Amino acid sequence: MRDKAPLEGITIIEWVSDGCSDAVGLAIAFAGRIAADLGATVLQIDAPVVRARAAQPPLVGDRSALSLFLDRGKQRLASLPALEDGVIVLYLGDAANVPLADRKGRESVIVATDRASPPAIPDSEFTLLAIGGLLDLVGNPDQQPLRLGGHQMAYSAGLAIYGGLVAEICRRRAGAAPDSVRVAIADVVVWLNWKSAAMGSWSNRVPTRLGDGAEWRTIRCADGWIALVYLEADWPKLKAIVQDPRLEDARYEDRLVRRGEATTINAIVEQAFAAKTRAELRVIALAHRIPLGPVWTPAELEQDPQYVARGFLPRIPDGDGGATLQPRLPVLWNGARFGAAPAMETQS
Amino acid sequence: MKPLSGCRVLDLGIITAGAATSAVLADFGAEVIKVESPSYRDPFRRWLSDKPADADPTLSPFFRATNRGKSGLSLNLKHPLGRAAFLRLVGRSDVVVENFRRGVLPKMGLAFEDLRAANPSIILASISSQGEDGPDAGYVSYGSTLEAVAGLAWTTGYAGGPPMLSGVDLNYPDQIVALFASSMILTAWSDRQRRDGAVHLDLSQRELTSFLSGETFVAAGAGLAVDREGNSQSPYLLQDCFRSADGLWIALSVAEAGAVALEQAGIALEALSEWIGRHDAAAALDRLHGLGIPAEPAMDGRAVMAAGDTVWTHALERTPGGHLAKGFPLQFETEPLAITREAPGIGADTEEVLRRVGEMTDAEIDALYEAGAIEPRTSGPLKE
Repeated sequence: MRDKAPLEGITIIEWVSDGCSDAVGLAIAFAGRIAADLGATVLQIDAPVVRARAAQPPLVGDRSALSLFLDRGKQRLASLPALEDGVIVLYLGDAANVPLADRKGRESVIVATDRASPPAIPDSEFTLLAIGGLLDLVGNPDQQPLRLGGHQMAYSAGLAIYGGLVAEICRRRAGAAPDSVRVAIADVVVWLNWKSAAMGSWSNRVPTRLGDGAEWRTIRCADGWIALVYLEADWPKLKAIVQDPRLEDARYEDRLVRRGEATTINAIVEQAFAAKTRAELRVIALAHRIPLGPVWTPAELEQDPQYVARGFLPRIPDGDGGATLQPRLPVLWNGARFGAAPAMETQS
Repeated sequence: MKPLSGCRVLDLGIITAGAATSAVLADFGAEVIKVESPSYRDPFRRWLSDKPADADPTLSPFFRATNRGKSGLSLNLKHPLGRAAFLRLVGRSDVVVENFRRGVLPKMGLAFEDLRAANPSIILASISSQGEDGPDAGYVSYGSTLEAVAGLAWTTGYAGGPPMLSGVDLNYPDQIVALFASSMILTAWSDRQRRDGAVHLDLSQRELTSFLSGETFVAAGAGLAVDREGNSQSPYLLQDCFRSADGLWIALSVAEAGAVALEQAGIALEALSEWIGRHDAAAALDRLHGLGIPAEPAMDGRAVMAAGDTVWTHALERTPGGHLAKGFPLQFETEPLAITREAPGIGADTEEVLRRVGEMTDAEIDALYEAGAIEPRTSGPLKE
């Protein structure tokens, strides 16, 4: 284990306004959680969006699962503290509050917004997915567009906020004057979805959701589902695993034909996998080096051999005598994980 | 001053995960040298456009979009001379980024220990499916494989329906890793004066995908039910997409205040779907916005592209030559990020890099040519 975390000596202040949107609040909290794990002192200033998040179902005991995950390793304060001179301080906040943070002209500010030019009616994380084109990509074509599970866009924006934060730390540690960084969630969504946004400029195809007709989809197996995922080089391997003469149709050697007949092909593969469990299919995928993905539940992953071997998903003491299942920061630094940050401390 | 001013990156990344990570580093001011072998070039070069104007067989628009801001070096790392030249460059660089299958680099004699011997303070970022070790280290995956094995697919789908994937056109886990991996490299770079020695960053895309669903693990670990909920999500009383009379899907999120406003306007929450179905999208959106309810059309990629002025500003950018490219997920105010060079042709800067960075002589470079360890001086068509 490292004896000195890389962000030790850095102070991060999460300071959002009373009108901060849910998505911006989540994004900032996610960035702060990463910084806390990496050794920064993270001070979270109390605000309505912070309190609402802590009470939002599902609850584990008297706190939300969201808060237990996002606010770990932070200190919650009622108001801005007095800060020592000589400490590198970075403020994370929404557009209403953060300009105030720059009151001394010596502090870096990372400003998060729903979009660069806010519309008259605030966005939700869901409507940001809609205007970024991500909703259109998931689901069945004859049903409504579908979001990804959880808070993927807020957390992706949180990754961008952390990137801006640590980029600014690089500058500050090199002696540069503080700067401001702006992260708009809508820009992050489009940045992630760049292929389908740009595809119309390069091709006559505009990607959209294909549901059961998609080349890649989940199919049934004996005890659940498995993601059928393969590229050109994997097709012979898939045929070898499935061993169904219908897949030997010479037309299927052409990917465009396979794409057009994905529903038929997927049904054939589903028949072949119907008697196999996800654990068996995992072994087959490993042996044939083919990217099949058993769909594991979050609860099952606690016992997943890979996660157990790498110590990624332990139960971490929550400070109240209990322990919560928590993913660790997903990086090993010279073979070691960063120490699990303690549960949140609340100070007046 | 840029965040990575003075930082030199050797980019072994291919397709999206590795190459996009290095592109972010270039945006932050690093000198990024893309290294490709004469016998194995980045497969993204071959994802060609349908449009004749983009028909350069070595510079597909996808490759251009992901590799702008980099120079290009041709080097066969499997050849002893190529390996030696690479290690010489490692000695004069700060970061190596790779997303090969596990075992490929060590097999070439370029394991972390080999790189550290060449440069005691090197930062090696290894981006992989499952991490450097563990029983599934050899697991092969594409983005959507990871959604399944990381728990995300379990929570994505219609209520009561099967798990669903982001699919081949998004490959969500391959996109997010560029944000995380680049930020971990920045973290290691920021810390370089305070630590003693090299850093190996072992970045598992599967773990990252799970980390972005962190609260579901907290809930599942406490014995709470975690399942697919369609588009509904706390704290909204109603969140879903409904089709308008003119056939557009309208995405909306109705919180308590929105529900009150709807009621006062005589629109029952449970009848909202039917109400939208009786109105054209523009009229429905106008009315919903008037009631203070977040509502937007579910745009496809073409509509997103056309909405650059209102929805996004810097997610996509033009290169100096006018090519459409990935832009930036964030922006600095005083010294804005900018794309300053095109993606490199095959081995476009090989001699320049070997001379300037590797301090190699003409004779040494000629030996690499003669051994076939770098692309021939006049590059031929792509090898299949």
